[in-house]
Amino acid sequence: MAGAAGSNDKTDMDLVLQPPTPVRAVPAEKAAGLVPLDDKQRTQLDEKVEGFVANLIAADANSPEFGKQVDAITNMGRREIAEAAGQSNRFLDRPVKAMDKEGSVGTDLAELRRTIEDLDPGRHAMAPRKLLGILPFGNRMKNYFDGYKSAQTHIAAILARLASGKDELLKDNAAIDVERQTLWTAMGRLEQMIHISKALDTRLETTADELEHQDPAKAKAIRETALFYVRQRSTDLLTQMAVTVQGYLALDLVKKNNVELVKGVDRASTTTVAALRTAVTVAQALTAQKLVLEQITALNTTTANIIDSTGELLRTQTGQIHQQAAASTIPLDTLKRAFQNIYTTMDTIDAFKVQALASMKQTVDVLTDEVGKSRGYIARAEGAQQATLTGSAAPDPFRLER
Amino acid sequence: MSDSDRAIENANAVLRRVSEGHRAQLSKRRARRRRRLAGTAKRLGVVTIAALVGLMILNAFLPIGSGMILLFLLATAIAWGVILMASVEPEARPEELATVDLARLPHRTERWLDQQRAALPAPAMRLVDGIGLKLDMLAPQLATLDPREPAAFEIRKLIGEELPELIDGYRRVPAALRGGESRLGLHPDKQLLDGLTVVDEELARMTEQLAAGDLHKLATQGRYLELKYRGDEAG
Repeated sequence: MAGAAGSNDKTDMDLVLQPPTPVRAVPAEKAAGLVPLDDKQRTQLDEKVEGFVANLIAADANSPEFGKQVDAITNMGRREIAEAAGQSNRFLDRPVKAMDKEGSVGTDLAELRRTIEDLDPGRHAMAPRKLLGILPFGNRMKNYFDGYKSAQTHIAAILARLASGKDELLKDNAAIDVERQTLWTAMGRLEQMIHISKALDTRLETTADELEHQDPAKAKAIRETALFYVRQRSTDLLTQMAVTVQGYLALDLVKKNNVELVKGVDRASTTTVAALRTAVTVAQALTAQKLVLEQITALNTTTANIIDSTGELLRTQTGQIHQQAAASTIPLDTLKRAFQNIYTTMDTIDAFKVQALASMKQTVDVLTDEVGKSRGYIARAEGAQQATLTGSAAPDPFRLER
Repeated sequence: MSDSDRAIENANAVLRRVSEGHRAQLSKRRARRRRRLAGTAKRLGVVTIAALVGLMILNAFLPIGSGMILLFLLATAIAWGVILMASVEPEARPEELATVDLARLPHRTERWLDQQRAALPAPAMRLVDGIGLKLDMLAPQLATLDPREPAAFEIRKLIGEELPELIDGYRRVPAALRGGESRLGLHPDKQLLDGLTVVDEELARMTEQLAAGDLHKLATQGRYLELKYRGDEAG
């Protein structure tokens, strides 16, 4: 049993659909440092901090100028947080939508399976039919292959739907790639703000210590207002960073899931088309009946064009099936094998989907939790924004260049 | 005003005249005036011809007397008067800006800004020119934006209310008090400039934000084509 069935078996072995592991919550302390900053950026940011602290020390602790500087701290990174948070809605959407999409592909696969099961040679008795068990009556084999003719339109329609479902998955992945790219940029900006807030924290701390004796009032003001707000902002920034990193990872999970599903759909289409082609050849060998499956032939060409591997597989297979059907005494086994391939593929997909769905759900739950937490911080940031809108418009000392 | 102040003022004036924003603004203003004049001329021509045709038709039934000619001249004159009156561009009022529909809002605000320009200090004019250009860019985007979206609301608030309020507020301050520091320690000129800078930045940000969806869509489509026809390695 070399030839077609053998090669089918082999290709089946490579179809391993790896369910992605769920994304766990990223602790805020570990969120920083994931996006690397280069030395030039670091020095620039440090300069900003130095300039700011110098201005702060120069101002009288009770002057409005000092208050303005402190306001600048409460406002620090507001835009970066808002940007990153604006995207969090979308990345929360993605896994949920992906689960739906999986559903539509799943329906098509289930329908394909039902249709294929009707044609399964294992379920049909192929021996010549006899009326009352004695008189030969009709031709079961012929009837069986006639079943293909009536099923072909249906199968072709399902396969076309699967192909467009696959396109949807690819589109989804394209969108995810773009989103990850923008998220990466947002994370880079958050990282810079985190660097600023950390540098500001140490710098203000040492400054307050230095001023302790010369100007205790200012040291106190720095500790109680500036330093307090810096630490608050650090927490906000780190929380947002954690959520964003998590969303970034979750997007990767959705993407991997889609890639696996695309593989599954590809394989299901290939094995189905292969089985139908085998049936055409076997019909000729067994009943000398020319089974013409126009829909499937048409589909062959389009599928072969779209999926390279399918084209390759089908080309080599056709030759092998022909050879085998002509030479072999048991062509029906070849056909049974071809059907078995479809079932194996679909079972693999089903098993994959169960696992993938579980890890997706888990990821969404954790992410929803974290996004909810960060919303509280964002609300506070918005409050700070309102405050500055009503106040005078001082230029933001921590503003990042684009 | 000291000599150095005057020198700076002159230099600013030169900069203003040659600044790109200002030139674009000027050429646009000219184009607008040309369009308006052309429109008015066309309407006048149409009315005159219509009156003449009416006179000729009347002539077919009645003999033309001097009274008829007089009547014709009178009717034409009245029609001209109405058209000329209607063609005078009304001064846009800030209260109107709040109610104009979104698609026309940028142009209306721009025109209103144009009329305010003369009353503003030199550095503010440059900012106003920049804002005018941004409004121009924003117009096609707003034409397709659903007015019920939060972004639409934000933009309307900014260019329909907040910006006019800022400039109106500045104009209400007596001219003598605008330049220097008031006894309360407030600098109207500086505050106007700061405010306009914020508006300018916000406009830029909103324009970008509005375009974000389209940018995303384009990038996604490009990536999708890559994924579908070239596989995952590309890109």
